[in-house]
Amino acid sequence: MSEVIGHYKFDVNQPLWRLWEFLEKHSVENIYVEDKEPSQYPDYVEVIIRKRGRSIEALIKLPKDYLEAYYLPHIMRFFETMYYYFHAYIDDFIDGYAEDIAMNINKLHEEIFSTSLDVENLRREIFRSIKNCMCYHPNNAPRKTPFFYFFDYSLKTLYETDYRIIRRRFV
Amino acid sequence: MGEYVGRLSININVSLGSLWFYLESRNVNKVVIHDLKTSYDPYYIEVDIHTDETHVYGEPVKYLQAVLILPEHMFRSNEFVDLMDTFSKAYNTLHFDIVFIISDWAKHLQEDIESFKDKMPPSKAVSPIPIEKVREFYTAVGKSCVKNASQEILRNPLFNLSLKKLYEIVAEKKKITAR
Repeated sequence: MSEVIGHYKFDVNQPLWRLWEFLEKHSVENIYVEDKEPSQYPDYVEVIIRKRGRSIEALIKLPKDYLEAYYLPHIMRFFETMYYYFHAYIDDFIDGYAEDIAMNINKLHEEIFSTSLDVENLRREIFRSIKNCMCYHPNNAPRKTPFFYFFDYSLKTLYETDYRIIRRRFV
Repeated sequence: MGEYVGRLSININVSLGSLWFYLESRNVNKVVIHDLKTSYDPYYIEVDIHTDETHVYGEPVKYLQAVLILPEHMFRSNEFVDLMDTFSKAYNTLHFDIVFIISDWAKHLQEDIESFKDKMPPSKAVSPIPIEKVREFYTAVGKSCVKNASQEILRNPLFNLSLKKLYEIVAEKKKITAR
Protein backbone atom coordinates (compact mmCIF):
# COMPACT_ATOMS: atom_id res chain seq x y z
CA MET A 1 0.00 0.00 0.00
CA SER A 2 1.34 3.41 -0.90
CA GLU A 3 0.21 6.87 0.07
CA VAL A 4 0.59 9.85 -2.27
CA ILE A 5 2.42 12.62 -0.42
CA GLY A 6 3.02 15.04 -3.27
CA HIS A 7 2.05 15.72 -6.88
CA TYR A 8 4.31 18.07 -8.83
CA LYS A 9 4.85 19.49 -12.32
CA PHE A 10 8.40 19.63 -13.64
CA ASP A 11 9.16 21.96 -16.55
CA VAL A 12 10.70 20.14 -19.54
CA ASN A 13 12.94 23.18 -20.18
CA GLN A 14 14.86 22.51 -16.97
CA PRO A 15 17.99 20.39 -17.18
CA LEU A 16 17.54 16.76 -16.25
CA TRP A 17 19.83 17.42 -13.27
CA ARG A 18 17.25 19.68 -11.72
CA LEU A 19 14.87 16.75 -11.73
CA TRP A 20 17.52 14.59 -9.99
CA GLU A 21 18.04 17.32 -7.36
CA PHE A 22 14.32 17.83 -6.98
CA LEU A 23 13.89 14.13 -6.21
CA GLU A 24 16.76 14.21 -3.72
CA LYS A 25 15.26 17.23 -1.98
CA HIS A 26 12.11 15.19 -1.41
CA SER A 27 14.20 12.30 0.01
CA VAL A 28 13.13 10.04 -2.84
CA GLU A 29 15.06 6.75 -2.81
CA ASN A 30 13.56 4.99 -5.80
CA ILE A 31 12.02 6.27 -9.02
CA TYR A 32 9.83 4.63 -11.63
CA VAL A 33 9.42 6.10 -15.09
CA GLU A 34 5.94 5.30 -16.33
CA ASP A 35 6.17 3.70 -19.77
CA LYS A 36 2.47 3.66 -20.74
CA GLU A 37 0.48 6.46 -19.21
CA PRO A 38 1.65 9.96 -20.27
CA SER A 39 1.69 13.16 -18.25
CA GLN A 40 -1.53 15.18 -18.40
CA TYR A 41 0.49 18.28 -19.46
CA PRO A 42 2.29 18.66 -22.81
CA ASP A 43 5.21 20.72 -21.40
CA TYR A 44 5.57 19.29 -17.95
CA VAL A 45 6.68 16.04 -16.48
CA GLU A 46 4.38 14.83 -13.72
CA VAL A 47 6.10 13.69 -10.55
CA ILE A 48 3.98 11.76 -8.08
CA ILE A 49 5.75 11.17 -4.78
CA ARG A 50 4.52 8.23 -2.72
CA LYS A 51 5.36 6.73 0.60
CA ARG A 52 5.61 2.97 0.71
CA GLY A 53 6.35 1.68 4.19
CA ARG A 54 9.41 3.63 5.33
CA SER A 55 10.68 4.40 1.85
CA ILE A 56 9.75 7.24 -0.47
CA GLU A 57 9.41 6.62 -4.19
CA ALA A 58 8.47 8.76 -7.17
CA LEU A 59 6.48 7.95 -10.27
CA ILE A 60 7.54 10.02 -13.28
CA LYS A 61 5.21 10.57 -16.20
CA LEU A 62 6.55 12.04 -19.46
CA PRO A 63 4.53 14.18 -21.88
CA LYS A 64 2.85 12.11 -24.58
CA ASP A 65 5.22 13.12 -27.43
CA TYR A 66 8.25 12.43 -25.27
CA LEU A 67 6.94 9.03 -24.31
CA GLU A 68 6.58 8.14 -27.96
CA ALA A 69 10.06 9.38 -28.93
CA TYR A 70 12.70 6.92 -30.02
CA TYR A 71 15.63 7.55 -27.70
CA LEU A 72 14.14 9.57 -24.86
CA PRO A 73 12.42 6.68 -23.01
CA HIS A 74 15.81 4.89 -23.00
CA ILE A 75 17.49 7.97 -21.55
CA MET A 76 14.84 8.09 -18.85
CA ARG A 77 15.30 4.38 -18.13
CA PHE A 78 19.02 5.09 -17.75
CA PHE A 79 18.20 8.00 -15.44
CA GLU A 80 16.00 5.68 -13.38
CA THR A 81 18.74 3.02 -13.10
CA MET A 82 21.42 5.53 -12.13
CA TYR A 83 19.21 7.15 -9.52
CA TYR A 84 18.61 3.72 -8.01
CA TYR A 85 22.36 3.00 -7.82
CA PHE A 86 23.13 6.29 -6.15
CA HIS A 87 20.37 5.96 -3.61
CA ALA A 88 18.61 2.71 -2.65
CA TYR A 89 21.32 0.28 -3.79
CA ILE A 90 24.37 1.89 -2.22
CA ASP A 91 22.41 2.94 0.91
CA ASP A 92 21.51 -0.65 1.71
CA PHE A 93 25.14 -1.74 1.71
CA ILE A 94 26.76 1.23 3.38
CA ASP A 95 24.25 1.47 6.21
CA GLY A 96 24.83 -2.12 7.35
CA TYR A 97 28.60 -1.65 7.35
CA ALA A 98 28.38 1.74 9.08
CA GLU A 99 26.47 0.00 11.88
CA ASP A 100 29.19 -2.67 12.24
CA ILE A 101 31.91 0.00 12.42
CA ALA A 102 29.96 2.05 14.99
CA MET A 103 29.41 -1.04 17.16
CA ASN A 104 33.11 -1.92 17.13
CA ILE A 105 34.18 1.64 17.96
CA ASN A 106 31.69 1.57 20.83
CA LYS A 107 33.10 -1.73 22.06
CA LEU A 108 36.58 -0.17 22.13
CA HIS A 109 35.21 2.87 23.94
CA GLU A 110 33.49 0.74 26.57
CA GLU A 111 36.67 -1.28 27.15
CA ILE A 112 38.79 1.83 27.64
CA PHE A 113 36.52 4.41 29.24
CA SER A 114 33.82 2.10 30.67
CA THR A 115 31.15 4.31 29.10
CA SER A 116 29.06 3.85 25.97
CA LEU A 117 28.93 6.04 22.90
CA ASP A 118 25.80 7.10 21.06
CA VAL A 119 26.10 4.23 18.55
CA GLU A 120 23.10 5.32 16.51
CA ASN A 121 24.54 8.80 16.05
CA LEU A 122 27.99 7.45 15.12
CA ARG A 123 26.39 5.04 12.59
CA ARG A 124 24.48 7.97 11.05
CA GLU A 125 27.64 10.12 10.90
CA ILE A 126 29.71 7.39 9.21
CA PHE A 127 26.90 6.69 6.77
CA ARG A 128 26.44 10.40 6.04
CA SER A 129 30.16 11.04 5.51
CA ILE A 130 30.34 8.27 2.90
CA LYS A 131 27.04 9.09 1.25
CA ASN A 132 27.69 12.84 1.10
CA CYS A 133 31.13 12.30 -0.34
CA MET A 134 29.78 9.93 -2.99
CA CYS A 135 26.59 11.68 -4.05
CA TYR A 136 26.83 15.34 -3.14
CA HIS A 137 30.51 16.28 -3.03
CA PRO A 138 31.18 18.82 -5.82
CA ASN A 139 34.05 16.76 -7.25
CA ASN A 140 32.32 13.39 -7.00
CA ALA A 141 28.66 14.12 -7.61
CA PRO A 142 27.14 11.94 -10.31
CA ARG A 143 27.00 14.83 -12.78
CA LYS A 144 30.82 14.98 -12.73
CA THR A 145 31.01 11.39 -13.86
CA PRO A 146 31.99 10.88 -17.48
CA PHE A 147 28.91 10.00 -19.56
CA PHE A 148 26.40 11.48 -17.13
CA TYR A 149 27.02 14.94 -18.50
CA PHE A 150 24.07 14.70 -20.85
CA PHE A 151 21.90 15.17 -17.75
CA ASP A 152 22.89 18.83 -18.16
CA TYR A 153 20.52 19.00 -21.12
CA SER A 154 16.84 19.66 -20.68
CA LEU A 155 14.29 17.01 -21.57
CA LYS A 156 13.09 19.33 -24.31
CA THR A 157 16.59 19.54 -25.88
CA LEU A 158 16.97 15.79 -25.65
CA TYR A 159 13.54 15.34 -27.22
CA GLU A 160 14.40 17.73 -30.06
CA THR A 161 17.73 15.96 -30.62
CA ASP A 162 15.82 12.73 -30.73
CA TYR A 163 13.38 14.18 -33.26
CA ARG A 164 16.17 15.60 -35.51
CA ILE A 165 18.01 12.27 -35.57
CA ILE A 166 14.92 10.30 -36.42
CA ARG A 167 13.95 12.79 -39.15
CA ARG A 168 17.47 12.62 -40.64
CA ARG A 169 17.39 8.88 -40.54
CA PHE A 170 13.89 8.15 -41.81
CA VAL A 171 12.67 11.14 -43.80
CA MET B 1 50.15 -15.40 1.55
CA GLY B 2 50.96 -13.14 -1.39
CA GLU B 3 53.88 -10.96 -2.27
CA TYR B 4 55.87 -9.25 0.50
CA VAL B 5 55.61 -5.45 0.26
CA GLY B 6 57.49 -4.09 3.26
CA ARG B 7 57.83 -3.72 7.00
CA LEU B 8 57.13 -0.82 9.32
CA SER B 9 58.07 -0.38 12.95
CA ILE B 10 55.59 1.49 15.10
CA ASN B 11 56.69 2.86 18.47
CA ILE B 12 54.24 1.89 21.23
CA ASN B 13 54.04 5.56 22.25
CA VAL B 14 52.17 6.48 19.06
CA SER B 15 48.43 6.91 19.30
CA LEU B 16 45.86 4.42 18.08
CA GLY B 17 44.70 7.08 15.61
CA SER B 18 48.25 7.39 14.21
CA LEU B 19 48.40 3.62 13.72
CA TRP B 20 45.10 3.79 11.78
CA PHE B 21 46.48 6.69 9.75
CA TYR B 22 49.81 4.89 9.03
CA LEU B 23 47.91 1.88 7.70
CA GLU B 24 45.58 4.03 5.65
CA SER B 25 48.39 6.07 4.11
CA ARG B 26 49.97 2.83 2.91
CA ASN B 27 46.68 1.74 1.34
CA VAL B 28 46.32 -1.23 3.68
CA ASN B 29 42.89 -2.88 3.26
CA LYS B 30 43.05 -5.45 6.02
CA VAL B 31 44.77 -5.70 9.41
CA VAL B 32 45.36 -8.88 11.39
CA ILE B 33 47.21 -9.58 14.61
CA HIS B 34 49.93 -12.23 14.37
CA ASP B 35 48.90 -15.03 16.74
CA LEU B 36 52.28 -16.77 17.04
CA LYS B 37 55.13 -14.30 16.76
CA THR B 38 56.26 -11.39 18.96
CA SER B 39 58.38 -8.40 17.95
CA TYR B 40 62.11 -8.17 18.74
CA ASP B 41 61.95 -4.79 20.43
CA PRO B 42 59.56 -4.39 23.42
CA TYR B 43 58.99 -0.73 22.46
CA TYR B 44 57.96 -1.39 18.87
CA ILE B 45 55.15 -3.13 17.02
CA GLU B 46 56.31 -4.62 13.73
CA VAL B 47 53.95 -4.30 10.79
CA ASP B 48 54.48 -6.72 7.90
CA ILE B 49 52.68 -5.69 4.74
CA HIS B 50 51.97 -8.13 1.92
CA THR B 51 49.49 -8.63 -0.90
CA ASP B 52 46.71 -11.18 -0.68
CA GLU B 53 43.79 -12.21 -2.85
CA THR B 54 40.10 -12.66 -2.16
CA HIS B 55 36.97 -13.21 -4.22
CA VAL B 56 34.33 -10.51 -4.37
CA TYR B 57 31.19 -11.77 -6.10
CA GLY B 58 33.19 -14.48 -7.80
CA GLU B 59 35.93 -12.21 -9.11
CA PRO B 60 39.50 -12.39 -7.76
CA VAL B 61 40.56 -9.13 -6.14
CA LYS B 62 44.04 -8.30 -4.84
CA TYR B 63 44.38 -6.34 -1.60
CA LEU B 64 47.03 -5.27 0.91
CA GLN B 65 47.19 -6.95 4.29
CA ALA B 66 49.16 -5.78 7.34
CA VAL B 67 50.14 -8.24 10.05
CA LEU B 68 50.74 -6.59 13.42
CA ILE B 69 53.46 -8.32 15.45
CA LEU B 70 53.11 -7.20 19.07
CA PRO B 71 55.86 -6.97 21.71
CA GLU B 72 55.80 -9.95 24.03
CA HIS B 73 54.17 -8.24 27.05
CA MET B 74 51.32 -6.95 24.87
CA PHE B 75 51.00 -10.30 23.11
CA ARG B 76 50.58 -12.06 26.48
CA SER B 77 47.67 -9.80 27.45
CA ASN B 78 44.46 -11.36 26.11
CA GLU B 79 42.63 -8.14 26.91
CA PHE B 80 45.00 -6.05 24.80
CA VAL B 81 44.88 -8.52 21.91
CA ASP B 82 41.05 -8.43 22.08
CA LEU B 83 41.21 -4.65 21.98
CA MET B 84 43.45 -4.70 18.90
CA ASP B 85 41.11 -7.24 17.29
CA THR B 86 38.18 -4.87 17.74
CA PHE B 87 40.31 -2.07 16.31
CA SER B 88 41.13 -4.18 13.26
CA LYS B 89 37.46 -5.16 12.76
CA ALA B 90 36.46 -1.49 12.56
CA TYR B 91 39.40 -0.72 10.25
CA ASN B 92 38.69 -3.71 8.01
CA THR B 93 34.98 -3.01 7.61
CA LEU B 94 35.75 0.45 6.31
CA HIS B 95 38.85 -0.30 4.22
CA PHE B 96 38.02 -3.76 2.97
CA ASP B 97 34.27 -4.39 2.95
CA ILE B 98 33.15 -0.91 1.95
CA VAL B 99 35.94 -0.34 -0.57
CA PHE B 100 35.12 -3.59 -2.36
CA ILE B 101 31.39 -2.93 -2.24
CA ILE B 102 31.98 0.44 -3.91
CA SER B 103 34.17 -1.22 -6.48
CA ASP B 104 31.49 -3.86 -7.15
CA TRP B 105 28.92 -1.11 -7.44
CA ALA B 106 31.11 0.67 -10.00
CA LYS B 107 31.19 -2.58 -11.98
CA HIS B 108 27.38 -2.76 -12.06
CA LEU B 109 27.27 0.86 -13.07
CA GLN B 110 29.79 0.19 -15.80
CA GLU B 111 27.75 -2.75 -17.14
CA ASP B 112 24.57 -0.70 -17.21
CA ILE B 113 26.25 2.19 -18.98
CA GLU B 114 27.58 -0.32 -21.50
CA SER B 115 24.12 -1.77 -22.09
CA PHE B 116 22.54 1.66 -22.48
CA LYS B 117 25.25 3.01 -24.78
CA ASP B 118 23.65 1.64 -27.95
CA LYS B 119 20.26 3.01 -26.98
CA MET B 120 21.49 6.58 -26.71
CA PRO B 121 21.13 9.02 -29.62
CA PRO B 122 24.34 9.31 -31.68
CA SER B 123 24.55 13.05 -31.10
CA LYS B 124 27.05 15.41 -29.54
CA ALA B 125 24.85 15.71 -26.45
CA VAL B 126 25.19 12.05 -25.57
CA SER B 127 28.45 10.95 -27.18
CA PRO B 128 29.84 7.82 -25.50
CA ILE B 129 32.90 7.91 -23.22
CA PRO B 130 35.46 5.19 -22.49
CA ILE B 131 33.81 2.87 -19.99
CA GLU B 132 37.01 2.22 -18.03
CA LYS B 133 36.94 5.92 -17.05
CA VAL B 134 33.75 5.28 -15.08
CA ARG B 135 35.37 2.57 -12.99
CA GLU B 136 38.53 4.59 -12.48
CA PHE B 137 36.44 7.54 -11.40
CA TYR B 138 34.45 5.56 -8.83
CA THR B 139 37.48 3.78 -7.42
CA ALA B 140 38.90 7.21 -6.65
CA VAL B 141 35.53 8.37 -5.28
CA GLY B 142 35.39 5.24 -3.07
CA LYS B 143 38.80 6.01 -1.63
CA SER B 144 37.92 9.60 -0.84
CA CYS B 145 34.65 8.47 0.79
CA VAL B 146 36.57 6.09 3.05
CA LYS B 147 38.99 8.86 3.95
CA ASN B 148 36.03 11.08 4.86
CA ALA B 149 34.51 8.44 7.11
CA SER B 150 37.92 7.85 8.73
CA GLN B 151 38.12 11.50 9.76
CA GLU B 152 34.72 11.11 11.40
CA ILE B 153 35.79 7.98 13.29
CA LEU B 154 39.19 9.32 14.38
CA ARG B 155 37.48 12.26 16.10
CA ASN B 156 36.71 9.92 18.98
CA PRO B 157 39.06 10.63 21.94
CA LEU B 158 40.01 6.97 22.31
CA PHE B 159 42.15 7.33 19.18
CA ASN B 160 44.30 9.92 20.99
CA LEU B 161 45.51 7.33 23.47
CA SER B 162 48.85 5.66 22.82
CA LEU B 163 49.15 1.90 22.38
CA LYS B 164 51.21 1.85 25.56
CA LYS B 165 48.50 3.70 27.48
CA LEU B 166 45.83 1.35 26.14
CA TYR B 167 47.87 -1.62 27.31
CA GLU B 168 48.28 -0.07 30.74
CA ILE B 169 44.55 0.67 31.05
CA VAL B 170 43.50 -2.89 30.26
CA ALA B 171 46.27 -4.33 32.46
CA GLU B 172 45.14 -2.14 35.35
CA LYS B 173 41.51 -3.13 34.81
CA LYS B 174 42.51 -6.76 34.90
CA LYS B 175 44.35 -6.22 38.17
CA ILE B 176 41.31 -4.54 39.74
CA THR B 177 39.03 -7.37 38.60
CA ALA B 178 41.44 -9.99 39.95
CA ARG B 179 41.44 -8.30 43.37
